[in-house]
This record gives sequence, C-alpha cells and structure tokens, in this order.
Amino acid sequence: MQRAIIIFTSVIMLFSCTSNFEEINTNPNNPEYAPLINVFSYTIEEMASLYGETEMKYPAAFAGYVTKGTYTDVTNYMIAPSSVVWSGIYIDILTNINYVIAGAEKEGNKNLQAAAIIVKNYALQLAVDIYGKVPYSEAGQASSGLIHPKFDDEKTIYYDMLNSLKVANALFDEAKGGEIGESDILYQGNVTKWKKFGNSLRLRMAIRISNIDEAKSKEEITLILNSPDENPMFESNADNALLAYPGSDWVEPWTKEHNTVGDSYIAKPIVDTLLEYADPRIAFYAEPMANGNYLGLEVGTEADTEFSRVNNRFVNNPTGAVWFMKYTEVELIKAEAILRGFVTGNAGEAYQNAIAASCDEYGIADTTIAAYLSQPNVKWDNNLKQVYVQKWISLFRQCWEAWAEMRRTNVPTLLPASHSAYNGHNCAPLRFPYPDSEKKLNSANIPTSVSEDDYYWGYQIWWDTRSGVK
Amino acid sequence: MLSASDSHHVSSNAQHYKHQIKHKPTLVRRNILSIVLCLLAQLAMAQATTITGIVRETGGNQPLPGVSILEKGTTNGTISTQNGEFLISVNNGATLVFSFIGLKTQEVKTNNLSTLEIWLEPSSEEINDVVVTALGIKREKKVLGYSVQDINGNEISGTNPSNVVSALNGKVAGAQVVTSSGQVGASTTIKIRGNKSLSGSAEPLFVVDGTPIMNTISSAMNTDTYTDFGNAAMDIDPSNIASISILKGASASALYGSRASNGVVLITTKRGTKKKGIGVEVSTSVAMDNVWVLPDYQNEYGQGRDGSEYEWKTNYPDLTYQQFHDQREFRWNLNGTGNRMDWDESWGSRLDIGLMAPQMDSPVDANGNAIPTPWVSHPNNVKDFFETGLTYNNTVALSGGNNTATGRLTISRVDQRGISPNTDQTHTTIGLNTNVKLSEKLSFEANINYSELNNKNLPPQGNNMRNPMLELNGWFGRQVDMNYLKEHYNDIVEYKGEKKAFNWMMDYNGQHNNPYWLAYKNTMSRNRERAYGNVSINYNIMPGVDLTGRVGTDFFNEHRKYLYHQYSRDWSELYENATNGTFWEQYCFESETNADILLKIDQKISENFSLFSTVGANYRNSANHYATTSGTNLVVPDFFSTSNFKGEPNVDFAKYEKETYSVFGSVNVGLNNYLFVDLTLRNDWSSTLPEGNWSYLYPSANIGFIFTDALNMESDVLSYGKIRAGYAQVGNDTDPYQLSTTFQTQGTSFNGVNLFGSGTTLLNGDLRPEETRSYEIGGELKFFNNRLGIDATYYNATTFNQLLSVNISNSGGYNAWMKNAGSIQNQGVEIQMTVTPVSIPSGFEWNIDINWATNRNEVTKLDDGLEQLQLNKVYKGTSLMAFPGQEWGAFYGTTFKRNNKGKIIVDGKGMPVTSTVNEVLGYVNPDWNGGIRNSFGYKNIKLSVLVDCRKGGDVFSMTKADGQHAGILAITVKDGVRENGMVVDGVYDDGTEINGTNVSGQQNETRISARSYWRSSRNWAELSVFDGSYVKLREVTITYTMPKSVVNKVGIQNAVISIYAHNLALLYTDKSNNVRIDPDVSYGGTVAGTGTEIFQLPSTQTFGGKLNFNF
Repeated sequence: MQRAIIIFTSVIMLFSCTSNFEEINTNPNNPEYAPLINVFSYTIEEMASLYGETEMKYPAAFAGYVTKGTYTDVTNYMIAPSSVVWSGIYIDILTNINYVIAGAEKEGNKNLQAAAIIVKNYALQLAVDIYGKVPYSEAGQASSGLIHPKFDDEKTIYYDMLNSLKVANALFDEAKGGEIGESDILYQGNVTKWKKFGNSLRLRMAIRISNIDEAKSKEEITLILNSPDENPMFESNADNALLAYPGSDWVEPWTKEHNTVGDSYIAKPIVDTLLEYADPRIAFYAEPMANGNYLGLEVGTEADTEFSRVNNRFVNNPTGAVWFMKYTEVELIKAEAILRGFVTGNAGEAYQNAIAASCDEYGIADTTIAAYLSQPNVKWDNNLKQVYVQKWISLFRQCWEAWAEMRRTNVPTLLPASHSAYNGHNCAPLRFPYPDSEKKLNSANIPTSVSEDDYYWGYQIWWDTRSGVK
Repeated sequence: MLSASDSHHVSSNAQHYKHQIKHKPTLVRRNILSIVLCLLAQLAMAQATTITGIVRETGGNQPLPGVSILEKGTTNGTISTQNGEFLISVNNGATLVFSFIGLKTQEVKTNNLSTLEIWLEPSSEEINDVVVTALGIKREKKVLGYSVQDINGNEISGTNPSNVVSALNGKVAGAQVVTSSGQVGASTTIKIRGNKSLSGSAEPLFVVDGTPIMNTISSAMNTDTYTDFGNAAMDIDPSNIASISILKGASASALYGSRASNGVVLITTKRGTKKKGIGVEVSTSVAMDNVWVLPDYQNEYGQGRDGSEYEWKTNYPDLTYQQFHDQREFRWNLNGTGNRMDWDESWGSRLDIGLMAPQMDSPVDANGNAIPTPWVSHPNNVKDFFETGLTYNNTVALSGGNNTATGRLTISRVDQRGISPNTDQTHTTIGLNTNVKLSEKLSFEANINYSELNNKNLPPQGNNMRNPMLELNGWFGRQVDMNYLKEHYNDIVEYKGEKKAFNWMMDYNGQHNNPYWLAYKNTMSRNRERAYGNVSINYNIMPGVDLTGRVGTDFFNEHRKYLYHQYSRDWSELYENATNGTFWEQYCFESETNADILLKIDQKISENFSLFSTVGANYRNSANHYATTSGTNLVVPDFFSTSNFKGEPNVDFAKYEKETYSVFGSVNVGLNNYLFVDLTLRNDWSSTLPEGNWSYLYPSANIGFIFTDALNMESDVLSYGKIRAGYAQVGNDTDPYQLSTTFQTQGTSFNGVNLFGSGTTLLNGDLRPEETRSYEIGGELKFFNNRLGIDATYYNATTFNQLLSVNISNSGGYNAWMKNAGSIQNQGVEIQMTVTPVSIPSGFEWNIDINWATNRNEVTKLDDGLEQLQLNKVYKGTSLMAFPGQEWGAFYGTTFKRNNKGKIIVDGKGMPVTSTVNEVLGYVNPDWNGGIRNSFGYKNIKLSVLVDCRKGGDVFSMTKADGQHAGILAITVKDGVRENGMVVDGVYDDGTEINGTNVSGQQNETRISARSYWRSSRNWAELSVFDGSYVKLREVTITYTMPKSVVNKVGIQNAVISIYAHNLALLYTDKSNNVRIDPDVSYGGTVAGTGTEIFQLPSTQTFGGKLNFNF
C-alpha cells in the first residue's frame, strides 16, 4: 500500500509540469514578425487585387465602362455592395502598411517609410472617395484597444492626406537608392519612381477638391507644379504605377473575376463615346462582334442578343496589370490647372501629351495619334470638357478613379441603370453605403449626417459639388 | 471477463426476473484449492477459518469477478477474482455477505464449511441496470445523480450502420444526430443538449474502452476541395460494440474535463469470456442503397434564356413558337455560330409540344451543323445519374479464455459502392481485447484496434464546379438526356476552334462540367490507416482498492489526393492555369495520447454506508501535422506526380500541438442503499492558455435518492422511484496558438517575392478559461412491475466567458478579436419512456421505447456592445448569425421589403423590392425531436420499427435557391406562370407612378414574367429557408433466431437472420418545404453547418439482410 502511494504521488508530481507550455503554444507555422519589405509587397498586391476585383463589379458599371449581361442584380443595385472594399482597405491594407511604416521608421529606412505612406494614402483616398466620412485618425488601432474608431470628415482627411504625402516627399533620400529593396513588387526599389508616384497622387487629391476648396487645391497644385525639382511627378508611361501580374498562381483580377462569372460586356456609354470620337482605343478596350462592329450593352440590361465583350487584354489575360495611376492623368491635371488659372503653362500641350501617352500604352501608331488629335472634337479648344472627356476615356482600367472624377466633373453625365429597382434617381450612384458590419459594430460613431437611400444615393461626398443630383 | 453491460442493458427490453435465491454449497475444484493452500499459511495465524469458493451468476453459469465479500459486522472483506474465485479468512461461524451491483445481495452462514459455491440472482426489487460512467467505471445506475442513457450493442449492430454515430439517431433523448449527406462515408454529427458553444464545436467526447479517441469533425471538410472526409468515429466497427453509454450533462462528465462539457459517448467493445474451447462468431450482410429524396423538378420548359410561352406571346406574337425558338433560344452548334448555349438556366422554350432544336445528340449534316431533333423532357435525368449503392459487410470474431486470460479478436471488412457514380469505400477493422491475470493482485488489459479506410473517390460537395450536384440541382436543363452524357463523358471536342470536354452546353469557359466527367476524372481519393487503443495495468492493493495505470493512444495517417484533369472547367484560377491538369495532395498525421493513473476505492464500510472514491491524474497530448502539396499546372498532361508540376509547387507543412495535465478526484457516499451523494473535483493545466490562467479548477456535486426504498413506498403500481439532482462546472481551454497574431505567407511567391500578411484576427495574451455551469434535476419512475418506466430530466447549462473570435469594427484593422466574451444558455427537458404493453411468457411481447427532448437555446450575451456574431457565411448575402437575446443560429439575409401590414412592396414594374437591411429568416435549432421504437417479439421473431421526428429547425437550401433562380424546380412552373406570367401579391411602393398616376400603397396589378420573379429570388432569401420539421420511418428490422434444434445439427450454436431497412419513408415535411428537400442535412460536418444544404448528395434509402451465427 505504502509503495503504491509513493508511486501514485510521484506520478502526480510529474503531472504538474507546465514549464514547456509556452514553447508548445508558440506557433511553429507562422512567424510573429516578418521582414518589412515582404509585408510591403503583400500590401501592394492586396491593394491591386482589391482594386481590380471590386472595380469590375461596381464602378466599372457606374462609370459606364463595363456591365453584366447575365447577373444584372448587381448592376441594377438590387443588392448591397460587397463589404470587401471596406474590410480590404482597413484590414488587409491599413494594418499591414502601418506595420511597415512603424517598422521602417524604427529602422531608419526613410525611403521605405515614405513609400509606405504613399500606399497608405492611396488606400485611404479610395475609402473617402467611396464612402465619404470614414474612420481615419483613429483607424487601424484595434491592437491598442481602439475598437470603435471615430469617423473624420472628408475635409479633415483630405488636408491630412495632402500633408502626409508632402511629408513623404521630404522623407525620400534618393542617395540611399537601395534602401527599399528589389523585393518591392511595384517599382523594384526605385526611389525616384516612388517619389514621382507620391507627388502625382498629391496632384490627384488636390484636383479632386478643386471645386469645393479651390484655395487649398490651388495652393497644393501650385506648390507641386511650380517646383518640379523638389516635387517630381510622372514624366512618361515608364513611371506609371501599375502592378503587372506574373500569371500562374497570381492571375490578374479582372481575368480572375471574368473566369468566375464571365458575363462582362463593354458598356454602351464608353462604346458610344469612342465611336463618336472615332477613337483608336476602341479596338483595345472592346472586342468586335461577329460582324466586326462594336455594340455596347446598356448598364443594367441583360445581354439577350450579341454585344461587344470587353477586350481580351483585360479579361482573358492572366498576366495583365492593375493600374494605380498613370502619366496621362498627371498631364490632364496639368491641363486643367492651367486652364483654370492655378498655374501658368501650355494647357494644350499637356492635353496632347496626355492623349498621346494614353494611346501609346496600346502601341497605337504615332500617325494614328496625330490624326486623332487633329479631329475637330479632339483638337484642343481650350475647353475643360475636352479634358474631362479624355480623362474619362483614358481612365478605362481605373474605374474607381473614373467614378470619382465623374462625380466631380459631371462628365460624362450618366443616369442610373435602366432597370434599377429604385425610383426617383437621376444619376449614377453617389457613394457606397457603410457596410452592415460597421453599422452594427461601430454604431455610435456612424455619422448621422450621412443619409443613405437605396444603398447608393442620399449623400454627396464633400468634393461632389454637383447640384440637382439625387 | 464478464462485461456487466453485456448481460444487463438498460430498459429497452424490460426484463423480468423471478424472485429466488439459490445457494449451493459444494466442493470446489482441486486447482483452486491448491492456490488456496499456498496462501493459507500466511493467514492462518490471524484467523480461525479460511474459506474458499467461487461465485457464479444464476442462469448464465458464468463466474462473477468483482463480487464484494464481507464478513458481516466487520470490515474484513475481499473481492472475487477474474474467475469468480475468492479466499477469505473469517472467525468461526461468521456470516459472509456477497454483494454485486445489479444482483441480489446474499448472506451465507459459513458454519463449518471451508468451500462455498455461491449463485447470485439478478435482482428485480432493485433497479439492476449497470452503466458505464466516466473513466470507464461501471456503476449501478441507481447511485448516480445524473442522467445516463445506455444503448445495447445489438441495437447498434442490428441494422449494420456504416457509421456508429448515425446509428444513434432517434435512440437518444436529447441528442440531435444529423448525417450530412448520402455520400459513402458521409460525416454524421451528434449534438447533445443543444449547442453550448457560440462558435466552437458541439461534439461530445468519444471514449472507447476508457480512452478518448478523435472524432475530429473540424478537419472533416477540406475548404480547398469541398470534400466531406467524414467524422473520425466512423473508424469504430459497429459490430464490435458491446454497449454505448451517453453521458449527457457536465455532471456526468466532470471527470473527463473540458472536452466532456458537450457530453460523452462512451463505447465499450466486446470482450472474450472464459469458456471451453473457442467461440467463433460470423456475420455477413449485404445492403442496397438508392437515392431517396430528390427535389420536385419541373418538366415543362427546357434550358434557355427567355423562351416561355408568356414571353413568346407577349413580345413576339407575330412569330410561330418554332420561329421564336429558332431566333432566340437553345441551339447546339459546335462551330459556335449563332448558337445560344451561353445560358445555363431553364427559362427556355416549352418541352414536349413538338418544338425542334439542335441538341447535343442531334445528327450532324454535311457542314457539321446539328439537325434539329424534338425538344423533349427527360423527367428522370437526375435520378438516372445515381446508381444503386452496395454494401457488403463481413465479420469474424474469435473469443475465449481460461483462468488467467481472456481475449477476443474481431476482423471485419466493409465494401461499399456509393450512389454517386464511381464513389466507394472499403473499411477493414481489426480489434483485439485481452485481459491477462498475472497474479491474484495484478492483471493487465490491452484493447487494440486497427482500421484501414480506403476511398478511390469521394464526391465533393458545396457550391463549386467540382460538384456534380451543382450541375444536377442547379443548372441542369430538363431536356438533357443523362445517358448520352454518360456515353460521351470522355469526349474531347473542338468548340469554336478550341478543344474542350464534351458537355450538354459548351459555351462556358470556367463553368459547367459533364457530371460524369467530374465523377470519373476529377476524383478525390483517400486512405487512412489508424490505430487506437490502450494498455492498462491493474493492481489490487487490498480488497476494494485498485490502482490502475493506463496509456491510450489514437493516431492516424491519412493520405488525400485530388485530381484535376486537363479540359476541366472551374471558376477558380485552375481553369486559367491548369491547362494540362493539376492535383492536390495531402498527408495528415493526427494523434492523441492519454496517460492516466487512477486509484479506486470501493468500500462498503457498513451495511448502511458505502464509499466509492477515485483519485487520478491525466496527461494528454494532441498533435496534428499536415503536409500539403499543390501546383499550378502540369508539364505532361494528366500525369499526377509532384515531379511533373510546372514551376514551383505550393508546399505547406503545418503542425498543431497542445498538452494538458489534470488531477481529479471523486467521492460517492451511499447511505442505506437509497441515498447517494457524489462529489468531484478536477484541476486542468492547458498549454493553450497564458501563464497565470492556464490552471483552472472545477467541481461537481450530485445527489440520488431512491424514495421508494427510503419511504417503503413500493407497491404493485409503483415499483421504483428515484429523484436526482446535480450541479457541475466545467472549465475549457482553446485551440493552440491563439495568444499572438502572426504573419502568414500568401501562396507561392509573387515574382520571386514572398508576400507576408498579418492575420486578420487580433489575438492577445490574456485569455482565461471559459466556464460552463450547469444543473439538472430528474427522476426515474417504474410502474407495474417495471412494465412502464419513465426517466425525465430538466437541465440548464450556461457557458460563460466563451473563448470567442468576436467581430469588431473592421476600421480598427482587424476582422475579429479573440477574447473571452459572450455566454449561451441551454435548457431543456428529456424524457425516455419504456412501455411493455403486452408480455406473455415465452410468447408475444411488445415493447415501446420513446425518446423525446426539447432544448431552448439563448445567446444571453455577446461581447459588450456587440450586437451580432457571424457564425457562417451560408450563400451570397445570407449568413448564420448569433444575436444576443435570441437563439443561436439565425439565418440572416435580405428578403422582400414589406409594409407595416406585412404586404410585399413592389416597384412600378411589378417586381418585389428587396429589403436594404438584412432580416432574420429562421433559426436552425429544432423545437424538439424524438423517436419511437416499437419492438414486437414472438418466439424467435422480432420486429422493430423506429420512427423519428423533428419539429422546427429551419433549413437553408441552396438547391432551392439556385433551382428556383435557374427555373428547374416544379415551383417555377406552378399555376401556369410560364404561360401567363404572374402578378405578385403586394402593394406599390411609395412614390410609384404608373402612366402618370400615383399608385402608392395600392394593390399591385402589374404582370411580370415568372422568369423575372424567380431569377431575382436569390435576393429574397426567405424563399430559400424552410421549416425542417419531419417525420421519418427511420429503421425497420426483422430478426429471426433460428431454432437451436435445427442449427445445432450443423454444429452451430446460434444463428440469427435479420432484414433491415433505413429511411423507408419521409412521412411528413412542413408545407414551407415546398420543393421537397430532405431537411436532415448539414454542411461540412460542423455545428455551424447544421441546417445548411449546399448541394450535398441526397440521402439514401437502404435495404439489407444480415446473417449472424456462432459456433
């Protein structure tokens, strides 16, 4: 009996051994820390896939580029937009880019820090342009216990983003060229190109607020355009911010999306405009029908007969690209700024550079471009609408930007989808509603000043100064 | 060794024993005496007389081990050995008291006898049920203060289930058993007393012969391949089960710790017994499976875009229907000119009215154009896809034993062919149980099981292009001839200049495969080799005191391989990438090891006071390893080897491990044989929790009171009455690696750069154990000499501080936050009844067993300020949710917008408007469920009929959602809507103008096509949710025991023939189940998948026969 008790007790003693618990419970599969550049590149890819996958579904239709031929419930606003846009920006992008910014600052890697700030602001501008008032100053801080971030108004956010990009511009140190590293999947560590991207993005932000806050817009644009040495921006298509996909496991998002459902058609507004302008880009945006003609499908309508499809270079091309921003846009912003008197310069030259660059992306012959530029409706006429139309045409694969610019410029003026279930609207959607989850999980902070009608209407984003739209 | 539960099983067959006591003092065999003589010397000094003997049970003639033998009026006592023998030194003239649970206690005056042969009688005055309780300890049911339900092995093996869990359906009060689908090897879930976890598993713990085994449903569903790999408990050979005990509440399971808070399924396998020669049992059976419940399909309109009579008459009145069809509807043509095969829905032209259309089986003219053939329906095309499933089951068992050892070896083999073409399963199991007595005090036991499971192909499920059911129940034209598809599944044809696999429509890239292509080409094979069991040593320290050490393990290696052939269509990247085919291969190793040490003290201190106590400790380690390889494309088409991957393959090795240590103890005190108090205490240390919180203690207390004995209330009417009450707490830990957020690499490298992204759940280091507190009260009553028995329990269990991944505002940067939050309460009533309306000795007997249970579940709290928790994304906008103050498991999605009178609101075009906010559409938990088994016995024939039913419990059906949308279901042609259109019963939306008149709020009069309505129906998710109430004729078994006089002549001792059937009839479904879907579904084998139908294979109907004999 005694012996048994001794054995028993010693076995019990053995059992109270917890010293290896922490070791056992350390995740052997995934690290708690990852190299900054790998996280940075992850963020860039996330942003590209988010941009690409969602733009085809929503703003592509709102901006009159691409529409659905079978599943028209999305294009007719029958269902709420995916919350993926919101969660993608705040979770996949913000959390990771904050990690990179903080890590780079700690390491003293100013170039990476600045590049990461640009990516962060690119994503947050998307958020504010899509939703309006959004969490900004308190966003992305759940790990510090801030799980109900407040919403900031658009003006505050825009001012802060512009400032933040200015700071980033100053942070860049081109002498330390290799600092970012070749593993940067966007620019392979090219500091100059990142710097140009940051300032081009500043121009995009500044022109966006030009109608509502001309003074601030002018101030920023003047600052950049008048001191290009300090504030370099895109100078050619070689500078374009685009993520080309390698294919294989990484299929370009439009192609991926098209493989899933495959009912995308090129929309009537863009086709009609390209035809009206005899624009050579039509052959690169759309596929001709069997008879060789182009026919766009009206947004919200089923394709019950033959219509033109989106060009295969966009929907059947695993190694295609997602465009964040292009040189063409910079030249068009220049043209607009000059025309509106913000700065001095040759608006027509900027306009022509823009069109040439846009056509050049598709390898259109110089002679064809020259002929196009001399057409009566294309030829420079000191007309702001010309700039806006060309911007819309050139932004074909940047639907989020096109939708935003359409709301700012009112060019083109598009109606809601033809079979919309909702009565009483006279324009394409104004914004996305806040996702259901945000309304439920951060209800106290959802701005009451933002009204939401039929998902997509009810509130005009701050910089959208159009009147009479509803 | 005699297993008490072999001979005494609970209540399902009321047993009646005569009141009689026999004792036959006689001379014992010589060999016993010699052992005795050796030992005698040591003891002779202290005692006056030594008595030896053997104890047997009347009737069976079996020696009884473990009988307590006490010298009356003293504490001197012993216990009979494995062979029923005993040796005791007593004072002269002492009286010995022989007692054994379930048997009548007997007092015998020793007088001058030195050897005794004692026969103990089964007791009828006391309830003689013996049940297996926690840690495998057999206890008299009467001493327990909690509810335990026992099921005899015959009830399990009688109907030859392929999965032991599915055999429990309808037989256990308070358990909801759901088989996910009709595939071979489908997983079956069991949920006891509701769902105690907001987001985790509700699976009870499975214990075989005292050692926990894995029933890892969590890994059952592979999210990459959508295959249901079954629940791991299906490796247990049902024919080798002696009994199953279901410990339902935490009270019953406090000794098993955390994992038992959802209840415990204790399985005891069959043992060898001491006998002359060897016993051989043989069983052989064959069964046929057929597809059972298929939805109601329409057979009036074929595949197409908008070809209804309504569309034709309304918009193209100048054309004949044939002209209309030719211009606008389905036309097969491989050169791709002018065809309309790009519409996979069934809104096409009317069938069977003489229309002609070029189709896949039409002849071809000289230019290669298909010549129109009649456009006709094939009403049985889906049914034709299914084959007759076959199951062959053969078992041989050898058993025997002598004075020092007993053993039983079982070998069984099950060969199955599924109802879905080219699906199969073979399952070989070997079980060995041995018990060897090394000395009077020391014995060891080993229970070892080996199982090999093979599937050449398991079908996929879910909403993906690898699932044939997606084609059949979602997008299959009603005009399609299934046999033609079968004959041509292997054809590769040129379509619009591109090589493609042949299908009934060709114009899709990443979508739609010939279902036979999927069945024969894109297969998922699986092989699992598993061993589980334990070895234990038992040392009898002194009479009534035993020390047991036990090491048990369960591990398996599983290999899975999914093939994707060239020319397959898929809406993932596979279609674009895997142009030469690809494959996915996984090796998993999962293991669980338990080491226990247990000190057991069973003392009858005096006639009126008994003490049963245990002290023990447990070490547990569980580890899972996965090695997964996949690749983008192959070099040599359809050659499925890792050496053939084009470029770099995706290789993923992952490991999960956790450890727990526990110490525990229990005390059961019995007073006067009618009052029993049971106290337990356990402390766990878990590696998954942070230091400071990884140790947690929890107690339980139970009381049982047999008032009929205490108050002498026994009468002819009331035979037995007991009340019981219990309270228990159980602590719980979590999964490994939940304490800090990590970065994960995303697939293969992007241009050579590995992309690392942060996990989207915020993890933190201050988790605490979660806690379940529960109480139960219940009682047992037996009337009319046990001919009517009722056992009822009320329970209430609340789980607090659930370890939960709580959704948080995404703008904080994370999707969820892992923390202690939320509580959920389950309360319910369980009733078991046994009735013997007729019992004629050696004649007709009729028994009724009734199980009924209701459970009310409420999520009492989520995290502070948290209003919702998403449990599962079901389909499109519909999710399964938890809301505070509501039942767990609400289907939540968009639906019709309604006015305050509940009328559907329609727009100016007559179409219903969709709600812009999500609404609750139903709840998955049933109101109640139950089963009634009627058994009739007459001489050698027994008939058993089991009906089970469920009230409530809503189901989301994707077959309904997509079948309505695509127009293949009968409901989409009802009431002539395709001929005449339809007017939705609703009112116009505010501000609606028709022809300049404001019609706000007026009754809708605008006619729309059936197509417009149904194609939008996926946005009105209430149309895909229905009440899952059902009544099913679940099981019928006829058993014939052949007369001994006949079988003995051919050397057979016993022979039993049985015929059985499963799922004979779906007797009732709710009216809202208007397309006929079997409501008994779950997706992915998880709790969150209960009530969700995402194109699982339909359930099967089984007819089988079995022959059992031994010699």
